[in-house]
Amino acid sequence: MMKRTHIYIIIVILLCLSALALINNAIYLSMQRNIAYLIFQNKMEVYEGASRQLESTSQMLSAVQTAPEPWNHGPYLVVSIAEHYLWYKQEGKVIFKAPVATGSEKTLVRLGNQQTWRFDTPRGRMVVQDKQEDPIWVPPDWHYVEQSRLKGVTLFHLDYGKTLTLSDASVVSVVGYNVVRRQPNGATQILTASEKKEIILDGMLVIPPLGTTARRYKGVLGPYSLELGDGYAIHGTDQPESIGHSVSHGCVRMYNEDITKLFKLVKIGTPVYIY
Amino acid sequence: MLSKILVALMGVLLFLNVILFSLNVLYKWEMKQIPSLMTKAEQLRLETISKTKANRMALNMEITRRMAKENTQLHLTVDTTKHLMFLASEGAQLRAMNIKTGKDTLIGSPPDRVRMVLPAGKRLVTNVVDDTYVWTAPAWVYAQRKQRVPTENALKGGLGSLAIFLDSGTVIYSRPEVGPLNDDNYVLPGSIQISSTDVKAIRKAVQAGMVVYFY
Repeated sequence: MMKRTHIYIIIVILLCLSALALINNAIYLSMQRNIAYLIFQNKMEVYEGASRQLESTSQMLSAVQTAPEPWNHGPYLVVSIAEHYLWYKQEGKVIFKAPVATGSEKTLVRLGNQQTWRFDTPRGRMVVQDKQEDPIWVPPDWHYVEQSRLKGVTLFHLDYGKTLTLSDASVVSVVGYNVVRRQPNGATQILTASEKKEIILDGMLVIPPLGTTARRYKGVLGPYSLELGDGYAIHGTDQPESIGHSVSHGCVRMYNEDITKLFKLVKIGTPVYIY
Repeated sequence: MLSKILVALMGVLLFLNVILFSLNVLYKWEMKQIPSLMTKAEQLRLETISKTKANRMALNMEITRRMAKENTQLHLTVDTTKHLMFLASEGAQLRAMNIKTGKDTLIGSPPDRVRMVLPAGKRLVTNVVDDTYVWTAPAWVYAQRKQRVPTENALKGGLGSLAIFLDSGTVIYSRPEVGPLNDDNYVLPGSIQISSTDVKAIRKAVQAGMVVYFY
């Protein structure tokens, strides 16, 4: 009976020792586990922070990508001076294209008053300001300077109220919208002019005043013209052989069949980018 | 009576031991799980940060593209993913040009190591030169080309008929007739090669101060 009690006591003592060891180990493991959980929690917080940032950037990206484009560009014209080419485009796609002639980039200096003209096609942005059918060309002064040089004659600038008396005693003056030559016997003749057929009298090339019929040339600009302002235009030509070259006085020339097609496509207000 | 108490105590202690043993096993199991959970969290964190960075980059690219569309001045835009460069103004594409880009390259040796990559965002043209420009090709270009550095490597026209220098160090050039860049299959790292036709077309339009957008 005593022996069994002793065995029980020994077992109880062993169980107590075992429980103490297990408690000790459990406390140690619990501390380690808690520290690990703290680190894990910290990592999760960092992850959650990053996740919130991701959500924020995703929303911003989505907002920017789905926002309307800054400006839904309408059709526009592009002219490459170097390549002598014109494109009519919309959103980068070519609707129409054609070869052109552009400014000669030459300089003309008028002796005497030292006036200088530079025949460049202007680079930059312009706008189609007007559309004209059967456009009339009003030659600028440089045209007469060029022609006088080509023909080896001097220039006479005829103004309203001014007269030019010729060697045969006839008098040239402006009557109404016409340049008129009056003979000594009273007979009158309306003088007309066209390209390369200017009024040359007594070795003088007459520059008619602006607004007169003698300063309005038909057919030079082809059947249609797109006016760009400042005297520049995109137009047809009576010199189709000039297309593809740097020969104009700054305007953009096209074949007449091309300007006919383009004229129907382009609206007033269309931007024109020349580079 | 004593033996009954001892037996009861033994029972209680045995139960306590079982509970404590189970706790120990549980804690050990949890300790084994936490590192893998932490690795997963770390992976998630890295993935999330990487996605955030990618989003930020995409956001910047999109903003740059839109900035380019709103710029009313003549400018260049470079679409690095489509390998296209545009001469543009207020969203109108005046000219689309195919481009070749140089491979991203690390040059030099630590600590003076430089990564030659295409830039992103808004840059400026600092200088435009023609075929009279004398370019000294760096030695590393010859090394990449597996060529010997010539005794005189200052080359007139070494960057072709037109070269556009940007403030990022990027050079937009056409294939020259002379020098180590005279090869359609090699493009200066971090730079852009365009065709000579495009160069002729845009040379008078490009000037110092012009904005170049990379997206």
